[in-house]
Amino acid sequence: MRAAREALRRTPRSAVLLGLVAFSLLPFAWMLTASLEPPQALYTAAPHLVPRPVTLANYASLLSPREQGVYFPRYFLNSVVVAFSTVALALLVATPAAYAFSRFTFRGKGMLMYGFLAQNLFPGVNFLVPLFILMTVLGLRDTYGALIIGYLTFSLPLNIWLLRGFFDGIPPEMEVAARLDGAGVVRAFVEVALPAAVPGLVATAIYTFILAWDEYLYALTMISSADMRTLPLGLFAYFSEGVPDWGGLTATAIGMSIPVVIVFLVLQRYFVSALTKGALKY
Amino acid sequence: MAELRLEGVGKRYGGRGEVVALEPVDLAVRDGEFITILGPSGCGKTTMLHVIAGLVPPSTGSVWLDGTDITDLDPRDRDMAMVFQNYALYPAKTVRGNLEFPLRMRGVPRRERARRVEEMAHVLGLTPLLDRLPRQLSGGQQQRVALGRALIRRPRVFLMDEPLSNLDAKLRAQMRGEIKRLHRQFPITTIYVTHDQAEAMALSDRVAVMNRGVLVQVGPPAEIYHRPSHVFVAGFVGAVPMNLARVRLHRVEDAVECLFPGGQRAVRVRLDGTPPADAAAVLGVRPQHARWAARPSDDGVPWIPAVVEDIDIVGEESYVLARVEHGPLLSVLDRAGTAAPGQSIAIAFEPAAVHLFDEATGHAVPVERVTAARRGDSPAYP
Repeated sequence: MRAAREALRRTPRSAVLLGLVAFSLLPFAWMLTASLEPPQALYTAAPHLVPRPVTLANYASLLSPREQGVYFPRYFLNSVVVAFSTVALALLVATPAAYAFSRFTFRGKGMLMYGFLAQNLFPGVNFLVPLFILMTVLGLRDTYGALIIGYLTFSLPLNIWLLRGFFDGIPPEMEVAARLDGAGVVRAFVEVALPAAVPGLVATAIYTFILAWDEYLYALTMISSADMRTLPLGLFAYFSEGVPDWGGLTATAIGMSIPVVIVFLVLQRYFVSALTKGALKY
Repeated sequence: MAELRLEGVGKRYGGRGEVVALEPVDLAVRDGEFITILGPSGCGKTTMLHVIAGLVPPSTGSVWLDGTDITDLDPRDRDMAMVFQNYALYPAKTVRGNLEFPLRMRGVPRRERARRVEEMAHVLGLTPLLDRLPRQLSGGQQQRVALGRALIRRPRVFLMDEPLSNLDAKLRAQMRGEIKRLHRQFPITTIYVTHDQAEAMALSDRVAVMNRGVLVQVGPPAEIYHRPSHVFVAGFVGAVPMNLARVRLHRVEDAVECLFPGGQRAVRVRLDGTPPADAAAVLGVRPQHARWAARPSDDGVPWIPAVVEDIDIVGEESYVLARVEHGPLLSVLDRAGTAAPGQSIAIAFEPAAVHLFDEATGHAVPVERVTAARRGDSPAYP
């Protein structure tokens, strides 16, 4: 009796939660369905979730060359190169910068920090034209370099703020102990502070990765040749032929989502693991 | 050999040095000595430790180690080790990795490192835990790893900053014993910072009491306890606080009568030198050096009338808290254990165990411990 009442009490809450889950997952499910059936099936009467008939033709078409030999694998490669380079460079630059902001006092520190923040207050579109001109002058337009540098401009301020917060959360005593134990500043940073900041590094990396992986507008501005297109640009190519190729579009979208899902699955444990927990009491 | 000497070491913060963290201090620590810096939070004791460790440059003075001026030496070149209140273990390294780190930093060969880690783990009972990460250890175990990491390279000076304050009371007592044992086994010059007077008393060869950036008194625990040189030390040291009461000094013949604000006679003492006429002072008596009775007896010491307000039970002992009319609340060790709140009693101090402090400066006024004057021989005081 009590159990039943308890279940009844919980029903509205469960319903709301289920609704929210459906709201966020249904588009994805529909995308998956559309990618697994012939394009005509999409235009049949009732919306449906089970593909009929099931076909892998859309995926197969991804692997066959389209316009001038440029096709999905090339877009994918472009995106991988750009996203991973951006992440690597972002961490390389943001980590020491954030550490310095967290641990040292120097002239202009506050102004610099807020300067970074201020940059994030402006809409990204504002930077489109200046960056376009800059990249043209530098001769980087239509190259990976233009994309990587551009994405770093967008992500670094937040990267530094984010990581600075993580370093602030690491008690400085750990590095002081390392210094007394005979380590230099760099050694204390690399061997002691950095491992403790791993969850922060991972969070920063994922944020940057997604930013670079999904970005469309800036890439559209910078990239003109077909073989330099990243996945979002490649995706848009499906609209340019009059009737959208829904099968190819959704298959590409699925292929584009997979790396993000994998990155998340691999790294999610770092989100929950608080590495410093237990080593220090507050 | 590691003899540490502070000469006029002081620290000020702020643009014009307006915040004084540490007034210039002179302190000499003998080789192998265990000295405790005792004081309430914010008294400058941690600043002093950080100056010694080289983490904070002093504003004035110099630090000497075995006759060498190390004031400007980098922390890592001082050969000192430190244990922190939060242990500051390296979270990504195992117990072995933590213990090994200081040796690795000093280029000790791998084989030698392994041997010393095993040895230290054995001494501290950490052998089965060597491959655990700090977060998988209990507080006491983490504390032992922190001690081991500091001791493993036999530093010249061992610094400890409130190492026990994160442990529960029982574990704290146990680790206190452990630290004492380790110091006997490795007699390294040790500077131990704490706000816990019981720890300081139990562990130290000498205690340095600090208050508001000033080093107030340095001496062996017994001396600090029995002969406090300052009213602050008197109030800070001792498991049960010393009774400190404002009194007026009234000269009688060659002695001095201490009178409570209400006019009651507290105790009669003889002072070294000329007692100031009708001066104010602070009278200090430990509860253990006071006794009470239902009615005054005629034994030559003044009996102070008071009313019991409360009984404070501290484990085995209990203390009677009794109010002197218009005067202080006195705490008296209750040997009889029959007092009840509201009861009128009489309290007497042991004249030989009272302390007097200058009201303005707080410094101890030397008391010649005598005088069991006969009852009723002083003039009535308004």
